[in-house]
Amino acid sequence: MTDLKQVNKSKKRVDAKAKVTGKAKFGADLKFANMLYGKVVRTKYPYAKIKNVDISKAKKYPGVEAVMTAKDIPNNTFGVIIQNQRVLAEDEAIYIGDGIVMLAAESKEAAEEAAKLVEIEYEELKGIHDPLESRKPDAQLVMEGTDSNQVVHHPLRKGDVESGFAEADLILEREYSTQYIEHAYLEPEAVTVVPNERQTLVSVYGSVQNPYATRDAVARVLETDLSQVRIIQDNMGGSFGGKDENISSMAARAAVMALATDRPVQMVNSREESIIESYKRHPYNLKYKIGAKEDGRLTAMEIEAVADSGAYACQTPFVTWRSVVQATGPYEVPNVKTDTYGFYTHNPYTGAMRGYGSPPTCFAQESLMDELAAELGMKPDELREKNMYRQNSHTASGQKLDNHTVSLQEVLDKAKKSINFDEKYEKYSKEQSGEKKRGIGLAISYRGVSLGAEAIDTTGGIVAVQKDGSIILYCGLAENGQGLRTVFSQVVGEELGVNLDRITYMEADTSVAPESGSTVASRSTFMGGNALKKAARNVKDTMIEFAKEEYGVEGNIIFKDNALYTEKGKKVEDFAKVASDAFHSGVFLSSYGWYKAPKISWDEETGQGRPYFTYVYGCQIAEVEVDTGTGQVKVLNMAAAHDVGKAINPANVRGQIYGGVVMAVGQALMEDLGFSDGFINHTNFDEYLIPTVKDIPDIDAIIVENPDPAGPYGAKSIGEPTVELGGAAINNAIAVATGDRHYDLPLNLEKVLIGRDLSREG
Amino acid sequence: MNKELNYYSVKEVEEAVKLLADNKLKLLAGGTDFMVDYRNEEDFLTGYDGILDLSNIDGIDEITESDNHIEIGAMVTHKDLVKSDLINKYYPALAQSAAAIGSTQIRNRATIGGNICNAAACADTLGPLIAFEARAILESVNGKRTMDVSEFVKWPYETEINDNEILISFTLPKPEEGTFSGFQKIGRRQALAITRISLAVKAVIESGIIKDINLVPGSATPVPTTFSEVEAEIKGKKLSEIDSKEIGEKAAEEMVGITGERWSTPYKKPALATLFRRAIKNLQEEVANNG
Amino acid sequence: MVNVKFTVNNREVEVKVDPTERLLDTLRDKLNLTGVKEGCAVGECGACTVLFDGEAMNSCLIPTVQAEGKEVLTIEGLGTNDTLDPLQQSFIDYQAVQCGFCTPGMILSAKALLNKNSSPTREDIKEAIDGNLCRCTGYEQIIQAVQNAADGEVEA
Repeated sequence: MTDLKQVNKSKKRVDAKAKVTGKAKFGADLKFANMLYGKVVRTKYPYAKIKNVDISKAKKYPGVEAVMTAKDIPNNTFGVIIQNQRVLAEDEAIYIGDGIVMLAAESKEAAEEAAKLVEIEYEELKGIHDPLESRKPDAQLVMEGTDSNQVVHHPLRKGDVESGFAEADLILEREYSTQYIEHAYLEPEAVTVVPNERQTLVSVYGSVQNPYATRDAVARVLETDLSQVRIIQDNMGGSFGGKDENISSMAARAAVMALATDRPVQMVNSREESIIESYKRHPYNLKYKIGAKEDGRLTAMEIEAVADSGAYACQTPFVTWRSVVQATGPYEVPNVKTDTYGFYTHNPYTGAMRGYGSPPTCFAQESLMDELAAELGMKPDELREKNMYRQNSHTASGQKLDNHTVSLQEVLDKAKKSINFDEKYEKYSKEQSGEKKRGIGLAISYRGVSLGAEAIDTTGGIVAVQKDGSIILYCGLAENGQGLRTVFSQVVGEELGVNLDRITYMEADTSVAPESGSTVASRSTFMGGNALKKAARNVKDTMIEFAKEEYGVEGNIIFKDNALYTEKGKKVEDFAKVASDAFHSGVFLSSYGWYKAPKISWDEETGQGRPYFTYVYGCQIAEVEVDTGTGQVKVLNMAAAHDVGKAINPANVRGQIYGGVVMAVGQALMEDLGFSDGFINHTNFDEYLIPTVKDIPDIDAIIVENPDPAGPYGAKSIGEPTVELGGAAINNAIAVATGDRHYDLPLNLEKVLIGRDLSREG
Repeated sequence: MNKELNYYSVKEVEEAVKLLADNKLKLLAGGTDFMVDYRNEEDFLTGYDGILDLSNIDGIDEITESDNHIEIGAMVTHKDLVKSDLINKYYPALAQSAAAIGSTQIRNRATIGGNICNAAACADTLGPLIAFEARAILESVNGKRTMDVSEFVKWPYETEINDNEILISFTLPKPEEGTFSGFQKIGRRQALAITRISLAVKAVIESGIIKDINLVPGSATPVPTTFSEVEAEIKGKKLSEIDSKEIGEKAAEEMVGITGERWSTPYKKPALATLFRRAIKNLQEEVANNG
Repeated sequence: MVNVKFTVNNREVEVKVDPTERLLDTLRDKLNLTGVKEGCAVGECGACTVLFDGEAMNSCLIPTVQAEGKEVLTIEGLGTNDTLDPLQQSFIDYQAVQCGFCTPGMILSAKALLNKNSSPTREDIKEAIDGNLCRCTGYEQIIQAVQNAADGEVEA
């Protein structure tokens, strides 16, 4: 590969300047003429019949322009997979965040005061709050129109686990649980819907993670064409998968009110509203049975993972699908029986959250591997090395890992070296004096890139070279804060030899950019990068053809430093001049690039096939200090080695690693919704705790690069792999420090000090 | 929001108490509790004629030294406490507790008077103030009243303050020779953390003997209180001979004696025992090092 | 309604507010300074941080009436149209900005620190921003950016 100028360089983010000056606008910063402020009145109980709704007083409050219920909504349901999410609840509320009444008023204060005047009569019902209960055949049904509470079941069968276990010298059976996780994006949900703007029925502005999914929802709710709904995404104050269905719901509500009043309607959640209404990471209950020979070789794994889908299906079918694919962890196991399930409950609904279906399974399976190693008298890394994937290994789905570099050994070695694992493991495994004890623990993972068998996996982009040589990029993938504006600009800049300051990446606009699937699954660099690279290539070819004719150039033409050069290094013309000349000669300098992911396959009965077209590999090792007198855990160091194929922007990749590790620290030690019987008790950041700067470990972010043949410049994925490993690594480190193994997250003060959680209910 | 609400901002204590004599006014100090409560409580300002802003009153935001006492104005911020040479010199435990509160932004704004008058069960500076035998000085049109801080705070969110009074300062006796103090806090994270349990200690050691000791846990009992049983046990004894583990266990028992078995007791017992154990050990080390 | 006169970003302003109006809302809604963000409304996240007479404070907890005669600095008051404040530039250079929502508050907290302490340690920096939550960056590159703005030496 020739020397890269833009790619594989830590280019400064193109959106940074606007953000450090406060000029970058976020959803709640927008002001439209004549704008109304929307508010939602939500249920008082997790499960209740809505007997009567009296909006008469609210309607009369000065400044109120609209008060509406489910009756006023053209089509009250939507959903990415199963369309059973209600915009507003009508006959019954089925989870604590269900909205019942919405209103719009001239001021925020008027909206808030009017909301207090809505009178709702409830009949509180006894709900079902445990998926292990709601799965039972005689359990009360949560979702109308169903005959069971099962949202989904994914089976995977490989070999024969019975004979596998019979072969084993040692069998361990353990049960794990992981908790609800709130995304806790710093920016609460915010959208503004403008009716009858330009050529569309509604335009939606704001904090939208997946513009096309939101467009689908709004168009469906309004019963109008997709072309009549325009979503224009503003800067997002974080999402992590969390601004999908809840934003669609918010946009649909605002849209109905905007059309009814013919005025823009802005809806912004308070933090409490955000935490109470928005979907969460699925809590999982996981049962693992593992069989191994004395020498550590795994013979069989039997896994059952039950996810709490809450009131709506949301993305449970896909989240649990990733779980079924990856539940064994990155190990060659000849006999595997995995079943993943999602069940409805009267709990907060659950959906996409960074990592999707793998943080829970990774926590369980990597904790189990450490426990197994200890039982076998092996070091944790030894057991991993005995079983982990190598080149041409076969996964639990029977997929041969041969089309990319399988780098588990490399990430493991690099992480170990960085944190001095061998020495520390030996030291900390011995008796330690004092009450503050140290430990070290590792976790490894593999992760399928992009959507796999969940949905059609395609992305489109447009590269439009303007007549002055500046370039406009469009892509259906949305900047969530993760940096894809910059990464995409780098890819195009590299192809066309143009510096980033001449490239403008437009915010996602569903009326302009091609529908590209959602900005999820850490797929943007790979999919969007490929699409834009193609588009740029097309434009490049056009320009080359033009240049050859126009300037009489022979041989190859090189694009670099904002100009075109001959192979021999002689400058042909400035890029800007070529663009201008081409334009004035009637040459079209825009191009679409459409990228369809490589073929995958999946058998729904057996879980066999090629579920993902490529994988990334990661290893994280945590060094902790446990205060055995108080239960406090300090994560001192974390070595995080991730194979990303190619780092388009190394500084960005490091940022994703730091962010993912710290998110995992929160999940492992402190994040807790205070959930009980359908109620969320921790509704703001004073009680739902995420790590502050004083809670972070020293992190060594180790970028490993084994270029993927299919990735743009070899690049693959980084966003989610960084968040799935920390839980197990910390749990394993605590086990080394204290001798105690834990099975339920979070590992808070109580669990670490006295071995169990405490709650007001006892 | 009550649009009829009056807003008063005064420069003298005299003006403030005159207003309070004739009006029912909600006191506003730094605002860090006020603004949260105003937002979260429907009836926060119900029945009040207005708001009395204390932040511009001269003379109640300073730390002053006299021969036998240090006076801490009620409007002194937690940041001021942390940075104050006087506080760090005479009352390290108070400076440490102030440093453990909230965040930089909160410490820059929240006042010690506001914090104590709010009287949350987990107010971190309450323990040290009680351990140092601080007195609260209140003023009204009828003159001044003084009482021990331990008396002033009756119950979570309840103090002895009358509707016509403002808290103007705390006075703390200057510690005698041989005084040691310390503060420990356990929270669920390292900043912006509500105290799960804490311990303030002030001890006077003379010739290796515990002449006097105040041990005041926070978030262990409804309001912080000095643990007199444990104190009685070790007063007069040789510091180096105290079994810190035993003391820890005794303290845990004393706590349960006050609170009864509560849902959080299984955690708080061992955690409190740890804090007491460490307080004694720290004392033993510090005294040994100081010769 | 109360008349309040104070200085924002070196400009004198006069506003009429209810006694309980938050400085956050006055800045965002009356003065159009939308760089100040609302993240939680209870002083737990720092997204609303402004400098108030040079000290970092949560504007969601300050009643505007208490701003009388004070100097308030928001992110819009840092740097000029042509030149960024060294902190702002450093945040760009050290990739300390991801979604950008915590950024204004974060920079102001750091600014308050550097105004007082021109060679902060890593611990000093952590203390200064201990009330600014960030969910994206894991804080590391932010610490490096502040360190770099202070003395150009980054302890990686």
